[in-house]
Amino acid sequence: MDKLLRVATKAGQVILMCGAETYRVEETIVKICQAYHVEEANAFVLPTGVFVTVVHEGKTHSLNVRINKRSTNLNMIDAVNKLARSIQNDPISLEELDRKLDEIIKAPKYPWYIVDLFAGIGTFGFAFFFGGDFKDALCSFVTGCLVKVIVDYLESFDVSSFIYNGVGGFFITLMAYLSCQFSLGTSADTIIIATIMLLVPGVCITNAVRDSLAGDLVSGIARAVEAILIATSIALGAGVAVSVIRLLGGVM
Amino acid sequence: MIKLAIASFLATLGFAIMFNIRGEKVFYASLCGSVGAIVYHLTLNVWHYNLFLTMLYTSMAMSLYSEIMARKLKAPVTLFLICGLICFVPGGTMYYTMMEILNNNTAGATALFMQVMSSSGALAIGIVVVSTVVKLYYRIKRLGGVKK
Repeated sequence: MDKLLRVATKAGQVILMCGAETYRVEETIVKICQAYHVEEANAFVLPTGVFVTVVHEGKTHSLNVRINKRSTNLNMIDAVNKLARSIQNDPISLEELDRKLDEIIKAPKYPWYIVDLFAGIGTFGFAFFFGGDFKDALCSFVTGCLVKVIVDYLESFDVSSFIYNGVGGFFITLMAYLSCQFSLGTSADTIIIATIMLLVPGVCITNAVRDSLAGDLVSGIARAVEAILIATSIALGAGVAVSVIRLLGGVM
Repeated sequence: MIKLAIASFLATLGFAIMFNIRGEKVFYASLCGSVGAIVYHLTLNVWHYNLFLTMLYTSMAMSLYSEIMARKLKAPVTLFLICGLICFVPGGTMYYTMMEILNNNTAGATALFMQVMSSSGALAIGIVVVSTVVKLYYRIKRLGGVKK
């Protein structure tokens, strides 16, 4: 019983940390518990924690887990989802389920240079999307790669997300200004907007509204606060950069 | 329009890799961005709808595409949707909001902030509408199957 509770909560915790919606996490936990024939399974999920209670043979078991780190890893959500669905049809032993979960958690991610390269390619596309020319796109490419490296490096130190997003915003604005100053790019605004999309909490904002509309009001509010905090810190970083540039006599 | 579609394909591709999507799904997830860009261009620049409706139709088109792809490739809808969606999150408007605040223009900042909120709200509402309709469709279809 303890084992089931721990494995089911682990599954929920993993996909919550990878950016799954609240209802999906609750559904996955309940699905796994029900596959092992418990009388009642209840999951209450917030972006910052998971609470699971299972009733089995008249006894109530409960477990809660705190969640501090959140990122986006869609492949892992996909894998856990498939696993939870497959045990509905052909049940496997708990030990095997646990082993398969560990396998999913340890599944390889793309190495950092590939991620950074594609961050650059993404911003390259954004520059065209926002009406920039080829020069802007090249500047965005370089800025995007560098910003991703810096933000990921800071993130690995467990600094608060407020700090590293602020630093990211500052750096983006500075790079865009400098590249236009040396006439490498045409429009600083386009470069800034294109690269800022890397940091903008897009997943957070849409998940906030989706959670609220699905009835998970507390999660919706929590995610909205996170999104506003991140957006504010990016704006603050960019704002500091702009005022520094103006102070030194630049036009921005 | 083709330029926009390719641009958003590249942008979405970047996010698809950053979000650790694997295999052929990377291509289909990136295609979601192009679908969105084409609808976005048509509604905003060709039919001249306002921004709120544009965002709504764009996200509806993208979620319809993702629902279809999710069933074809047996993967969650979010996997295809999230990356494409990020292209249309109003990051630029957020930046201009901040610039207006720096320029002491509170009225302008408020107007832009409202635009940010309404655009991202429209994006999310579009997803919810489509996923509800798809769910209803399958439920009705299943009910029909039982009756037979």
